[in-house]
Order: sequence, then structure tokens, then C-alpha cells
Amino acid sequence: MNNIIDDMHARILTGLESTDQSIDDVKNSLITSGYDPDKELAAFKARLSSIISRHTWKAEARAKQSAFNNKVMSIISWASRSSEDIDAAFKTLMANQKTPHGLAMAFRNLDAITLEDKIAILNDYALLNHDDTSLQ
Amino acid sequence: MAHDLSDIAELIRSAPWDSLQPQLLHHADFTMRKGLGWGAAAISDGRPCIEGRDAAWFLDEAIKKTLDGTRKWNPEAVDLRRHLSEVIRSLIDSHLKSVVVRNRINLIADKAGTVASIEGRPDPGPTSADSIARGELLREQNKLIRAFRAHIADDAELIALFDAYDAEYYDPREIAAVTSLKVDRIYELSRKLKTKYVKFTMTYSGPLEQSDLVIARRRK
Repeated sequence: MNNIIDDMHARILTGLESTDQSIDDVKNSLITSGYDPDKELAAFKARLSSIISRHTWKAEARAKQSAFNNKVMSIISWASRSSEDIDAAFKTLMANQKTPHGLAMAFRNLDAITLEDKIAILNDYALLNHDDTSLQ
Repeated sequence: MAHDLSDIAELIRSAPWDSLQPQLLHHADFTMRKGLGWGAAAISDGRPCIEGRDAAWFLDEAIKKTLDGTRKWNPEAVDLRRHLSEVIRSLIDSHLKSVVVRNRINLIADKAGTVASIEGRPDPGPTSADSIARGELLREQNKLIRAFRAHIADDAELIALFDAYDAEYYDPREIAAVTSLKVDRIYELSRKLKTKYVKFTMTYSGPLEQSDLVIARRRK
């Protein structure tokens, strides 16, 4: 019912803003309105720098997250393989010179590791070493 | 050419802020003054603010929303000043509208003697509540601008310029053609009109004693 109310105020504001010819006119208007234009500009530049740096950080984090998600998607889960394949791959992983020393030492008693744990370790290792296709 | 968000960030970073920032701050300040006099905006340290948010906040917010893509900017189609001006105006209108809606809810709650039944309702969305708020907003803004016209009624030149703006003549040459004012004089009068408007909005309390909104606020 009120959709066609006349926006007189908007027309007057458009008019009042339309004749600002120079930056000095604008600054004088700001002074009239109670601002210190130089102080405002300096404060704004500091905030802008922080806003852009925060934006850049967030954009980089989003890109990394996206790359990580793509990596996860591209890795075939060891859960879909046969238990023989899993056992063989796990054995190879433990014997591999490139396997981190700590990881190999943590599983000295290889018989005590369940198939589920082997799958989880193989998946994590494949994710960390995505470029190393030998384990896939 | 399509711009991704990193292009947009670089364009914003390298924009000529020495001239752009004062213009946009001024635009935000002026736009916020629409809410003065009826409680949607208030004066703090001589400047308008809406629920604690000042003109600088709206400029920052417009930039953030452009950077994260919430407000799309096509640099080929619109320059940064026009884009940010539009985002600032839209953000301010949206905040003013939310004040109107909240005041309405308070009013209804006041009349009903309870707020529980209203606060518990889901947001009705941008349907009837939105258009009612928009109508309310325009009505209150127009009361303010009409009161300003009455305030300058003794000055025939200012009235002529005001009425030219109201008739959507913004170019000084066009205004000169439809009034008896000279172009140079129009620039002077525009500055004078602006100063008077700013001072008026700082002191305007509004002919709103009968307004539901004012009554609602006083009851709070």
C-alpha cells in the first residue's frame, strides 16, 4: 500500500550532492558536518590496509582449503581395496625408506594393527604424499 | 573482461583514496541524515550515527562487502565511486528500515502488553513487513525534508533551488533555465543550502509528537 510513496528527500539529497565541484567543496562540507577531513582520511587509510590484509589472508586460506579438498577428493580411499592389497601396501609403507622414521617405529608390532587402522594410516599417508603415486 | 576478487582487491587498494574517501564519507554522512529527527539516526559528536554506526563504518562495510563479493562490482560498467556510493546508500537504507521494523514491533508489543508473541515469530521475509517499513521510512524522511523547506521559506533563492532539485533538475545550467538563478549563483546557493541542511538536521526534533514511532520510543 505504501510502495508509491514519493521519495522527495532522495531528490533533494541528490541535488545537494550534485553540485560539489571540487574536493575542497567536499572537504568544506565535511568540516561543516563536524569532521576533520585529514584525520578521517589518515584513519581510513590505516583501516583500509587492515581490511585488505585480512581479506587477502582469508582469500589465501580459502584457496588452500579448496586445494586441500580437491586433493582429498582425488585420493582413492584404501577402504575400497581388498584386505590383501591393504596388508601389502602397509607392509611396503613400513619398509619404505621415505616413510618417516617415527611412523615406522610407532608400529613395530605390525600384527597388532587392525585393518581399519591400516586403512586410516594409508589414507593419511597418501594425502600427505599426494605427489607420490607409488602407494596409490 | 571478468574480474576475480583478487583483481577487485588490487583495484580497491590502488584507488585514488585522497579524493575518493572524502566524497564517500560525505555521501554516507548525508544519506544518514535522512534518519535524523525521528529517532532512526542520532547525532554523536556532531555527526549522524545509526545505532552506533557512523559514516566511516558504512564506508568500511561497503568496501568489505565488495572485497568478499557480497556486493558485486563490475569495474568496466561502473566506477568505484558510483559502486560504493550505491552500496553505502543501500546499507544505510537497510539499517534505517530495520530500526523502523524494530520500533513497529515495540509499538505493537506495547499496545498488546507483551513482547513474547511478537519476538517468537519467524521473520516474515521481504514481503509486507518490508514494504510497510519502506513506506514508514519514506514518510518520516519526507516529514523531515518538508520541515526543512519550511525552515528556509523566507529565502526565495534557496526555495527556488530546493524546488528545482525536487523537480529533478540537478545540472546548474538546467536549473538556471527553469529558475531566475544564474549558474554561478547556483553553486553558491547549493553550498548555502547544504550548510543549512546539515545544521537543520543537527537540531531537528521533528513535528512527530503524534507519531506512533515517537510514542513507542517514549514508552520503552
